[in-house]
Amino acid sequence: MSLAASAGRGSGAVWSPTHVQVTVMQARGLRAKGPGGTSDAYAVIQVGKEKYATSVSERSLGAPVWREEATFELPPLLSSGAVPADAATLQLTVLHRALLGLDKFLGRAEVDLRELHRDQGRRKTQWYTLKSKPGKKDKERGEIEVDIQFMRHNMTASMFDLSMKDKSRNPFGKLKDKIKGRHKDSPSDTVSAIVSATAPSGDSDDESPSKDKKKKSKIKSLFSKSNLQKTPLSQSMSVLPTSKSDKVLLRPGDFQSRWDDDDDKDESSSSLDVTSHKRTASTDLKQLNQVNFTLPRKEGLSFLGGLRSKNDVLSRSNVCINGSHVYLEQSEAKSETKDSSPSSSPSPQGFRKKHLFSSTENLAVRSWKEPGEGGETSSDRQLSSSSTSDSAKSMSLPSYRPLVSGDIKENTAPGNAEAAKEAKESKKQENKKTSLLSLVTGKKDVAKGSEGERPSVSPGKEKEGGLAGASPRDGGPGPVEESVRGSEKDTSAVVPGRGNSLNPFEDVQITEPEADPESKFEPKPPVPSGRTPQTRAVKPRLHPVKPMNTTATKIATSSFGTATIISENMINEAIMKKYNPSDPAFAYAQLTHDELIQLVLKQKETISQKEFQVRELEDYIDNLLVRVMEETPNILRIPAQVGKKAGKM
Amino acid sequence: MGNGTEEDYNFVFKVVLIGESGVGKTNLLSRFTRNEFSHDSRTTIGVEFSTRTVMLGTAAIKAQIWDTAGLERYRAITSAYYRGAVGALLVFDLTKHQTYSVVERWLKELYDHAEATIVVMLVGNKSDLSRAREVPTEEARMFAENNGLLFLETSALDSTNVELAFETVLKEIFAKVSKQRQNSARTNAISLGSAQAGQEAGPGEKRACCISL
Repeated sequence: MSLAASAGRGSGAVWSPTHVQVTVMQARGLRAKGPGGTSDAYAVIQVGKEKYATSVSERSLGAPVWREEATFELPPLLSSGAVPADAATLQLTVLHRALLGLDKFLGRAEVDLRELHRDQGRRKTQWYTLKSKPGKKDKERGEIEVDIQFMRHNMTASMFDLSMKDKSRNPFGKLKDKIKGRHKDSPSDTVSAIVSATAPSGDSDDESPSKDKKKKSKIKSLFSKSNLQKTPLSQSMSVLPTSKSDKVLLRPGDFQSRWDDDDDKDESSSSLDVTSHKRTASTDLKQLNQVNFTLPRKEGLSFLGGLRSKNDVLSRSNVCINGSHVYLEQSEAKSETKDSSPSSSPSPQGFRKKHLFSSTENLAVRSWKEPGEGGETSSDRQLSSSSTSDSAKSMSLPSYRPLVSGDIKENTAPGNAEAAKEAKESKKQENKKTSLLSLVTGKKDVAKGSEGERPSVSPGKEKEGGLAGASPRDGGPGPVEESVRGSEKDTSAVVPGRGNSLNPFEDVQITEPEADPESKFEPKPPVPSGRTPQTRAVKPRLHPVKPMNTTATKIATSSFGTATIISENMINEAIMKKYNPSDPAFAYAQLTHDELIQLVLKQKETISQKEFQVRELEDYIDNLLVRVMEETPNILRIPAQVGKKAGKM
Repeated sequence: MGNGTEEDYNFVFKVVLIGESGVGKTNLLSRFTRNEFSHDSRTTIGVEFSTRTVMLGTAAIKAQIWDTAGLERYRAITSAYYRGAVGALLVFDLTKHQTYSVVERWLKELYDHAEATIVVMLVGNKSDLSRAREVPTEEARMFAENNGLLFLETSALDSTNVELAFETVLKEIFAKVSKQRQNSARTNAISLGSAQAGQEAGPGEKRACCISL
């Protein structure tokens, strides 16, 4: 409902963005916290309760470059001024990831989105001066460049509200992460990652969880009820690609290399997890989790392929984390096919993979290391054990962490899992179909029609629903809330389940088509919009920070998203090239499978109507003939013989 | 047998052409009645007929040959089409076995709507395309014999057996009519002034046939 509401408002006289896409470009003049005047800097961006972290720019000399983006859902009527300041403020926090202990604060900045929107309109890229935490002595902390773009109907990673999942992380896990560096990514494809996040963290929360919880609960209720987030995901994916052409052009080679790196680092495990999920899709979460670890690496690869196909369905990969679970399962069969598929995009798969990994990392809960630095982090630390359990439930689907996953799985509420499961299953088939179609057709993103999107979206929705439900829960500490949440979740899960046919969110559907066309027809593949891969989580945080999409390839940890996008674009291009513009098929090449199907159905209907007409005419003529034959057969005599009276004496 | 004049005939026999679409019914008709052949492959729409008068002995027989599309579905004209027919050419394309394999269905329709005494000839058309033959002559002949049908292979394209086929049928009909007329003394003439040879004359006349001038 909120979505609908926002959409409705949007159409009003005042342009009211539903989402804001924030791209953390780079920073400069950062203080050095690490050895040799360097720092392992990452940025955390937050709007309201939603929070994302960039990848860690390791050993950056005070000027890390991220080019990662995330999209936040904005409260309705942003421009009206009815929105509380904190919900319309973009908080930028730059931190140094410490190997031990809390991450160190490097600086922070706040951007009043309402003001920005009012003054700057749709998009603005600018440098913001980093300041000290409130109440602390100001010193030179450098500045950060951020691109802020307002839009409507986007969906992105934001959809998955990871923040809810943020849990204090297991200290052990943390350590491990630090040691392994990227390691996080690999394990946490989906479910496992989430699970780990849920695990109680040793992080200290300075602030009282209660506050946060309250806030979260509010937010949660909004989300869960509204379902807004769900729709946005699919759309945003498509939309984003256009926007950031300037960011980074990824070359296949780059991706490949990264991919390799990732592999070395444990990604395999994560990938495995995902795969298993997919395969077992119908099975309970528990089962899935179990399977995860056992699966061989190969499957992981196939899984990636699956993701890819999934992407097709989704049309965009950004959401990978969220969407990946659902989709993966659904698309598994496809994945294999895809792997073998077109050489044109070798990188995409790799990207995807990375994508997953990165996403997983992000997902992984990190303990916020900032020691007593500021209240800013407070929200992050809110995680309480109770919340964790809740989150775990909500997250059940996604659990990526192998380590934690086992325990967590158990924790996950059966109800949630089942609900999610059902939803998944119902949608799976549809997704598969679509994916299959896509495979057959060879069309991918290009074809994504509004309709096509739907199926994909719906899974996303499911997921989101799950996530959304979860996130609120995270916020809500009390067991009492859990029950409430449970109900909420059920609703959310169920709703998605209805899925395609009965879409509760009519508005969303309507809007989607609009967005989709843009993405589909975007001519420039190479310049993926800002949608880049989600960056890895810097560290485990108390409050899980959502991974951001990287725009830049160079960032070691990040940028899979872009790659995927690019690859997708390339694929699209290839597809497009198959048909010469003069070829009548060209027009159809750009249609979504769904659109094509619709077209076929339409044609069929038309034909049947024609046939019916023909039949009617035939019958009419026959009846006339009968009368003629009985009364004046002579006129049926073949014309050549006209004039002769046949048979007549 | 020479051609009689149109007005000078003793009998009018209604003969129908039936068989699958595309077997060449219309061209058989045009070949026989107008000595024409068209390579135009248009499907027949509606119903039409042509006539030709042939002399059988001393009798002038006016053959009224009806042609229609070989559609599978039941049509409103089906009943009217067969009504009064005293002869039928059941045509198949000997280069397309499918058209032969459905002959039985056509026979059934024929006997459902026409009189039991109707003279039927099984015609394997397109004998000029012998290389593409799919229906062995003997097979068709055996089938015809077993079902009491006349049989010929024809080619509307090169006229092979076309005249013979129609005349054979007409002769057979004439023979039957003659026999019948002999049997029923009272039925001198059922005067069917109209061209509808097929109309049943009366209880005594099983077959509509004749117009006696």
